[in-house]
Amino acid sequence: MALFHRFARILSDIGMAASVAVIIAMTLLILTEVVLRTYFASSTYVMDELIGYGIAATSFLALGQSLAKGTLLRMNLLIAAVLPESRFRTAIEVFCALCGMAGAGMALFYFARNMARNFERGYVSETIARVPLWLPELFMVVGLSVFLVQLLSYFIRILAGQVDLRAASEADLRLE
Amino acid sequence: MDPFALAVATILFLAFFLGAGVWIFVALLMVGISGLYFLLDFPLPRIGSIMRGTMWRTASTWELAAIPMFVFMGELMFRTDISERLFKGIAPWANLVPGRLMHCNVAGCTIFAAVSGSSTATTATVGKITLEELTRRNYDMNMAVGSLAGAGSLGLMIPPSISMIIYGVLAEESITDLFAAGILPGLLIAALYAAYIAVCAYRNPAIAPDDGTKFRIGDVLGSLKNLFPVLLLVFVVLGGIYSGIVTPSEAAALGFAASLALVVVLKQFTWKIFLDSLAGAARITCMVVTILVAAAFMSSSMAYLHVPQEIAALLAGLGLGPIGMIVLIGVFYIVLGMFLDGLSIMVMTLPITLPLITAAGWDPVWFGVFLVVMIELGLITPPIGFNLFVLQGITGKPIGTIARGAFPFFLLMLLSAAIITAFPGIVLWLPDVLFG
Repeated sequence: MALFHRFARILSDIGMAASVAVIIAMTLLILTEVVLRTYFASSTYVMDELIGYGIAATSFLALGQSLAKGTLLRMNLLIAAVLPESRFRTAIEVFCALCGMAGAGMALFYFARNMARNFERGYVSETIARVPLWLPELFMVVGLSVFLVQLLSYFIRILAGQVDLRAASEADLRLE
Repeated sequence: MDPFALAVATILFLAFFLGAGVWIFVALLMVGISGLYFLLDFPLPRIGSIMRGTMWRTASTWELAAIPMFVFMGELMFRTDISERLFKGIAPWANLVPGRLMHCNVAGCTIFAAVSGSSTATTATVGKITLEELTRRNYDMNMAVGSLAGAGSLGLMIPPSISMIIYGVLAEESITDLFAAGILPGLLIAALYAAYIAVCAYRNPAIAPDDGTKFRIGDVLGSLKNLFPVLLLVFVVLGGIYSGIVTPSEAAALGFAASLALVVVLKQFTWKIFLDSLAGAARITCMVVTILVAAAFMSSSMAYLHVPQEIAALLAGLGLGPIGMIVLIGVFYIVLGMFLDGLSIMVMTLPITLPLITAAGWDPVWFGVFLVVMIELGLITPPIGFNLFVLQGITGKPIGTIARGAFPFFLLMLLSAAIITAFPGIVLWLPDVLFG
């Protein structure tokens, strides 16, 4: 099982690295657009479209590590009121993880199905870039998959009593 | 089921999932799924199709690209000695007025807010140096912590602001207009805070004791050298937007490059700082955008359930005028702000409140600024107030003590909300002048 947890962590780290790479790529693309427009009266003509795909990719690829680092917000009134050692607190975490697997799992299923359909039919965007539509959705599918693997790892560790819920209670200091 | 019962059931689903401590973006997805499945008997493939469509449309909104870049700027500044430079730059000027260095909190947050889109980044960056300095000089800690909690929230109001980007995307309003609209109210709040500190210090000099530090003319002029890096970034970001040369997203990319160049020139660049700042920006963007996309799906679900219409009909039945409506909505937001973070409040409620507000005759840009003030209030009200948490992390003091210190600043922010409601021109004048 330790191998699976390690796998989940490495997968989340790779997702984060990809997310960071997309931020840099978006910045470079926008700067290129500004330079082309300002000094060459020209344009990339694809900025809005590619940046749209980029922001979706960067957000979802970072999901796994955001979960692991406790950045994802949750309302912690009930959590704070329950003793971290109690069974009720464990039950809350199990319930939260199951909800996460249900909600994100459903989103993953329908994104993956649509991506496969776009791939099979060879659909492309109706813009000058003619981007294959399965490609941007692939990032969502990968991001949600990494999130689910990380969530499954969390779920198993909760059931095994390997998560320090005292620390988890305090991990709510996040930049908004 | 009758429409009103559907609306009540949806709100109960929301209270259940959020109350159970489910991650907010997951909770919103679950409310959307539960509402459509249990209340409207939609088959799962149809729900999945609605879910995928709304999530993708929202996630790929290109205006959101400004968020990681503005957050990166704040993260990068937080990891450098910029807060120390801010303090050194402001201190000689602040020492000239009653309240002395206590004003470094307000002035520091006001300036830093102009390069950071986040209130907690503003509070943490300014607080990490000013609180230490003020403690060392025996300044009143309640006032120091309270003023920092209040002034830190200016990060949301003074552009660039993540909250205003989100509002602009949700309300389909110009983000450039919103960025212009936030400046005067932000300065108004800062002025109210500074005046309050000065009056308190004048009546009770022990709040800001004279520690014998004297600043010479050379110090005052030399301080500009310390402020120069931040002011340069402000000029690049806001100057670009207000001159109409670049859009907010483009200004964010320029700010990204400029802040990086600045850190290199100041000889503070390390790969660790760079990568940590990028990873921080990616995580915050992930948190913000996932909540936004989940809220978009929940809003679709609520629209199928006619929840906005039911609540609108209920409020219309009260026969409130424009002022009555804004007061009611203000109270609603203050109460929500005690339990939820500002982003979640905004994305969950806007589909309901925005039509009500515009129907009552209020300008959507004005409401964006009003809503940000309400969210700022939520940042400093217990039990859930993010700025209180940040200051608890820095000072180690209990939340209750920090909240008591912040209470006068809460009241001053309420006063500023009343002022912009009585005089909406404070909000709308600058966008009108700049962009017509």
